[in-house]
Amino acid sequence: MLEDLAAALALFAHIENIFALAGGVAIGIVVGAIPGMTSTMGVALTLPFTFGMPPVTGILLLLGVYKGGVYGGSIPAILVKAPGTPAASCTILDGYPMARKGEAGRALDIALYASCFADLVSNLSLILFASALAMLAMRFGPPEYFTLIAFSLTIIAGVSGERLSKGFIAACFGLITATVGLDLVYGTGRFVFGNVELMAGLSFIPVLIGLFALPEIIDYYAHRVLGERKILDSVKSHASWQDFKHCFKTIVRGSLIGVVMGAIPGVGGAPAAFMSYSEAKRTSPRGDNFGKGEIEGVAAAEAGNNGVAGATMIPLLALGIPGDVITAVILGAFMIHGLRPGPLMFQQNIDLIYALFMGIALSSVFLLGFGKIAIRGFRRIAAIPYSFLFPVVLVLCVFGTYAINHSMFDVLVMMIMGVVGFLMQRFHLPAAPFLIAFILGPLLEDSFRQSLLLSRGSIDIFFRNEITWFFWLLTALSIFVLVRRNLKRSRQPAAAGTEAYDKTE
Amino acid sequence: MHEAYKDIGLGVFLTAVSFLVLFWFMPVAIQSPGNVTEVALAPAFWPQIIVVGLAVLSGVLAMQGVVRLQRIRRGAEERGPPVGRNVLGNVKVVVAIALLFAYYWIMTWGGIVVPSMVAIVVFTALHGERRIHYYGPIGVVFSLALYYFFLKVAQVPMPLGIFEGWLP
Repeated sequence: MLEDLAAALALFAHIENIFALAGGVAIGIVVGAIPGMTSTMGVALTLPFTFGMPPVTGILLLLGVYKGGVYGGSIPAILVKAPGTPAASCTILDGYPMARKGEAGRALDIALYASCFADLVSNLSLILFASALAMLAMRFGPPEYFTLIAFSLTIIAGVSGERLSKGFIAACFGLITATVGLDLVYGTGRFVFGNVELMAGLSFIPVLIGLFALPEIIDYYAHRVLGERKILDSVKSHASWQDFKHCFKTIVRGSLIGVVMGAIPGVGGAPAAFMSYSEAKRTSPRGDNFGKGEIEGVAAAEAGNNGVAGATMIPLLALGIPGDVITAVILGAFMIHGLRPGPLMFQQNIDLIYALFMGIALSSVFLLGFGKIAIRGFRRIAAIPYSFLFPVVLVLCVFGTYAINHSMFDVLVMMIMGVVGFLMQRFHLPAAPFLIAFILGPLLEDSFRQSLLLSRGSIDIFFRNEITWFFWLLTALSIFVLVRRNLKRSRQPAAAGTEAYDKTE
Repeated sequence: MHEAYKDIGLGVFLTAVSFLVLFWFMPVAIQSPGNVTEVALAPAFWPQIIVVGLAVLSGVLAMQGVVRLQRIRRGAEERGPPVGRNVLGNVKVVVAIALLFAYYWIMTWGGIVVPSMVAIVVFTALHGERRIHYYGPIGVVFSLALYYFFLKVAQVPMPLGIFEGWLP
């Protein structure tokens, strides 16, 4: 063991490794901060540069980009309501209202601290529990996925605002939008109308940007007096040690949720962030403030999505199975260097694995340092008047959306979703349930149908082991708590005009 | 118009739309093969479940609106402030949405760069911004910077449409 560690240290302790990791984190933050430029794109674009590098250097560069990208997405989410990455969509819910209240700096700070802490927890989980978590993840077949996602859908209640019915209506919109495309089992079209571009379904990023960023831009034309000065003054606000202490429990819980969700292939950062947010809202004494600019909400979302970052490496390193697109690209990098992740790698290249672990552990420190620098730079955005900033953000969204698939159709989808999002905003239908349903809907349907195919139509498969029972139990518990809370609320006298639109000039 | 009326209207409208989608639109828009053995595996099964759910929830929303209205009439709930009318704002919103789709249409033949330069200027002007001589050039530089960033750094070729060949 000690010999392996010494060999790993010799492999890792090179200045080029440190520079690669630091550079990767810095690149990742910038890439993540541009709406439409995802961490996946960042990693894919960096991959060719690693071909001439030693394996550890190249892989650390990619890991740096990945981790920086996951955090970087929170910056535009907080400042301009345009999430840089899908995982940052949950950060908008409280980050942007905080910015509007004049606390952009505080929101950015707590997002960074929560991200770094969650990243650290995720890295430690990777180092300490890789094999155990990988074994758990391997037990997930379609029925287990179905029950996990059914439970995850209960988080819609947590982001529905004051009217549960409106939240679930928005979720139905998201679910039905997600069904557009070719049917996976029979290959027939659903809402396709012979359009080739609709056959693959609607891309996630155009929907995300359209739903969150564009409504704000459109709405500003109707109500252009909203807190313009507040956001300008907000650059000087900071998160204090007290803030961190106040959010600590939430950050730890969010990190652990992220780790578990990240270890399960195919789940990703956005559901983890929403689940963490929902749990924080449910348990926090300030739960009613969530969605109105609550610092704990930002911490929960960021802890959830960054907790995933290290954990997604667990199935990759332990089993050789990439959990998402980014780890698939990283798997490619391993293979380019003649390495094959999996159990054998732990026997044959343990020094390299330990060297990577050392780098991964160090990445949290770089994330903190570069994150601080990035906040200083990016918070200047908050000083730009909205009348100019919003048109610029619109153009940025157009470029970013086009870049994903090189498709003008995606730009059109973004614009249509922008109008849909604006109308939803006008009717007080929350956007977050739409998004959660849009992400989870296909996973739910696919796992449901795959399970039925496996069992030849028998629903017994959904109760086949302790994992499915565990998630059914959690789902039932969640619904029970939800119903009880709503009954309590309905017995209280209703506040007058709580939903009246108060943004008129 | 009070929020309760808005909820009733939205609920009734969405219920009607749901039934329309379920019985008229879906059979046209979803192709189902003839050899489906399990109902739950049919391509239309999942969308049907969702739309039925939407119809039920929309009905609930309308009912909630009615109950709320009755509570207000009985005096059990305060009326609250009416939803404000903002005619000028709404006109601007309609213009902005129209411009948004005009921006898209121009991009389909004019590429992404030049229309983006124009879009920044037009959308800023629509806000009533008077310092266009200041923001205009920044918009032009910003669009060009984005173009070169995506082209050279991110390796994403951006369409230039009829302006192809104008930029190196």
